Amino acid sequence: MNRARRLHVVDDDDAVRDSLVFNLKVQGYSVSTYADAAAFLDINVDARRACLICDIRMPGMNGIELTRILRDRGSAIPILLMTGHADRSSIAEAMRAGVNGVLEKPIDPRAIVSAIEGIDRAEA
Amino acid sequence: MSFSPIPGYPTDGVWRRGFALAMGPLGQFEWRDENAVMGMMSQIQSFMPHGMCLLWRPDLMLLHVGSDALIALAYFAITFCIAGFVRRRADLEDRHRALALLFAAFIGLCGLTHLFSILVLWVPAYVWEGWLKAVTAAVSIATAAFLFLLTPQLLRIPSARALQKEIQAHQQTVAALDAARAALAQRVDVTESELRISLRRQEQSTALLRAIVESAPGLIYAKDREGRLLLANKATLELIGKPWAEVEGRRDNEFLSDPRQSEVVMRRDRLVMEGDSIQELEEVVDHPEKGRRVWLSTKTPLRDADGTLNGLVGVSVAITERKQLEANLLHGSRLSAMGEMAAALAHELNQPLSAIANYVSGSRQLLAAETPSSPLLEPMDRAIEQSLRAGQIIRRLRAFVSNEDAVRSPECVGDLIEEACSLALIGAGARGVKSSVRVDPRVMIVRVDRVQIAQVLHNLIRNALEAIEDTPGPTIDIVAQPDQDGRVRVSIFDNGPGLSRDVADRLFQPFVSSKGAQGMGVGLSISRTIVEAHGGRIWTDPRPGGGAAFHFTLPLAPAPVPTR
Repeated sequence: MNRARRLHVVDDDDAVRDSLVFNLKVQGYSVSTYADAAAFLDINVDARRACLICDIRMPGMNGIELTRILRDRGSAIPILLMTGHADRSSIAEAMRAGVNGVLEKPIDPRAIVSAIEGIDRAEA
Repeated sequence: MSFSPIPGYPTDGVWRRGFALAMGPLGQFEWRDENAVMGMMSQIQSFMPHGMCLLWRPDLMLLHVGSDALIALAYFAITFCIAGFVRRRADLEDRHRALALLFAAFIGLCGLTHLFSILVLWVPAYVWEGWLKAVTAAVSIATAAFLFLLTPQLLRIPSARALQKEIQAHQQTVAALDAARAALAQRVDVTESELRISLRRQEQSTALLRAIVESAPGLIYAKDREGRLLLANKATLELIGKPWAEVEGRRDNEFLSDPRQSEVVMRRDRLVMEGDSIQELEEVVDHPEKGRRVWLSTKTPLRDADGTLNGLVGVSVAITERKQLEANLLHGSRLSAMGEMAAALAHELNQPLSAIANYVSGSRQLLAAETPSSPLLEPMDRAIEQSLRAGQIIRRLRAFVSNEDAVRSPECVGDLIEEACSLALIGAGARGVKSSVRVDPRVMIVRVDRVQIAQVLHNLIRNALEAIEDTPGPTIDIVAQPDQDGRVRVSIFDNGPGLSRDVADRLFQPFVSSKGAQGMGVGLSISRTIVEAHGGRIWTDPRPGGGAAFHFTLPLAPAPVPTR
């Protein structure tokens, strides 16, 4: 099982962020967390050794806007967005912005793992 | 007989001789003088020719003979004229004919007597003349008598002038009559044409009225006092589904298939006529093909010219769509409120649910690594499943209220109930709750959103459980059976304290709860929204023998589909 990627979790909800970190760490991942999108943009990450897991609906910059900025910068970092109220139009918008997947809350922890593994396989 | 000389006549011998010469062949007498005549008379001892009375004076003789001859000629002419007249006038009455002939005979005989007067101048045939006169006298008397008898009748015969006048009067009368008849004929012609025009106008106005009545989009009908149909426009006949000939003069209960509905309609009609007032009311009529239709009916008492009540006129406008729109708006406002609530719920609840799932999942992972055989692993898996299920419910509800992504599939009613019971009745048995599920075998498949209906069942069962918490010998019975119009009715009975009327009426509105401050009270409201969105109905009534019953209906799927 490849746990080489560092997972960057962006969510304004402390409980979600904290529980996700707990779960993903148990799965063997190393995880960084950010309370908002701007905080993530401040750091430089190695796209090939990272994965961004970000909530869509956040105060300030939302997940889709963050995705656009990253893609505009030419970043190839894999991006998984999470949403509490997925509707078709926002999913379609996210896909156009260049995300690798959209996960619906409450997120089945197994679904995150399989999504990351999917990305790994795609890039292998 | 005395003969006296006519004064002025010559008495000389010249005359005598001349006459004697003239009379020579007839007589041997010769006038000499008066004495000689007297002598001659006594001498011959027979009648003397009457000419002797005239002394054979040629002038006197000529006067008598000429006059008598002319009279006779005239009399005979008259006789012939009368005879000819009588012969030609075949139309004469017999009595008149007889009179005319008698008169002709009388005149003819008179003529004969004059001829005899000439004859006796020379021949003294006085016997013959006397008899002739006697005959003439008899005929004359007869004629006079007959004429006398006939005079009153003859008097009555109008004269030609009178006749002419009468004829003229008649002709004038006839002319006047003709004129009157012509005037009358003309008047009749005029009247007839006026009548025809007014008839045509009436026909036109009737046709116009008919066209308006027929083309009106609503129902227009008239009934007499006994409720018999006097008039029905096309829309009405289409609704009834029968031609005019089959409904004319019939009452509602004779042409409406549903006796209950016809009774309602007829009762309202009677109210209009008895109350003698215009009534506006909404009528609900189930149509075999078009389904339940709502009509806004205005019914007006029908009166004739002198004000006698003759029945009623009704105009009904279909307001089914409007009512549906109203209901949808109501539903919509409820839905949008629900939608907002659901969106908020989705966001707010999904966060903690995600956290729960993650924490439990992580914990399970850790536990599994340390104690792979721990009995806690399975309950933790369950906990994860339930947190995910909660999220799923919220998601479906959201999708449903925003009319998005509602997934409907054929489901077996029995399976749905079984599944809902297995979750909702967890632990109930331990508390002594007896439960039963009875599913009519005719109730098979419904086309529903499985999660939503499971939610409804779950809500109702949990409500029932709460209601019987303090009831000795608590029971819950769940029954699924066919309802009318191809629906299934699912009923949840409990033997709890039941619901007060007030609560029962408002129970399905948001934030009303029989549980007092406990609980949000949205469960039943959401259930109602879900059931109605599936084309069903949800309601509550008291359970016979105590407790409450909650029912909801769902349309059965058209064709049986294998259960899953």
